[in-house]
Amino acid sequence: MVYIYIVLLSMMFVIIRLVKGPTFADRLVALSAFTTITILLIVIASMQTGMLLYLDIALLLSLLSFVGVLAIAKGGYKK
Amino acid sequence: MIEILTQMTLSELLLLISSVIMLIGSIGLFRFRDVYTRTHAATLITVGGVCFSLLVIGFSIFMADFLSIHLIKMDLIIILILVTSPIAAQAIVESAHKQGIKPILGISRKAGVKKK
Repeated sequence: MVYIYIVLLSMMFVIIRLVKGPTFADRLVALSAFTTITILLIVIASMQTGMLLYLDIALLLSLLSFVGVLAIAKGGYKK
Repeated sequence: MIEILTQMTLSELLLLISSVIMLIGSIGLFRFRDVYTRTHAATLITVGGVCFSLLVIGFSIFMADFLSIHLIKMDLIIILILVTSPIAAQAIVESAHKQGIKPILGISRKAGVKKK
């Protein structure tokens, strides 16, 4: 299916920005987008394989990515 | 091309549209030149790509069996992403502004135009 390849291509652009971001905030923005696309990929894997238990993992990842990004943004910078 | 579009189901067409929106957002994240404009593109990925796709998948679950616990989990994921993504983006931009990153103003697409 073409859909999953387009999603993986957009994930590749996000990973490139995550590696070569000039400042720290660029990497943080790319990390936030990366975890959000990862949630979508987990849900697609859950639908394809029929393991509906994976939806709990996606829910947990969405909570933990929010907390992690907020914690790094509030206090993770080097002075 | 039209034959392909008529043979698609509606959910495949909507998933294709949402993935194209996500590709546009990620190209914007790759090619923009500033933290603030990149945050704009990343928000396009989150709302236009991921939440739209999850909404389409949730509707296809709803059409398959009427109400189930999986549909409630899916709605919970969508609401959680829609609530927490602007808060995270605002915190990132606020701390970048506090750290002293200046936005790049003016048109500098070509090399040689003024670049601050």
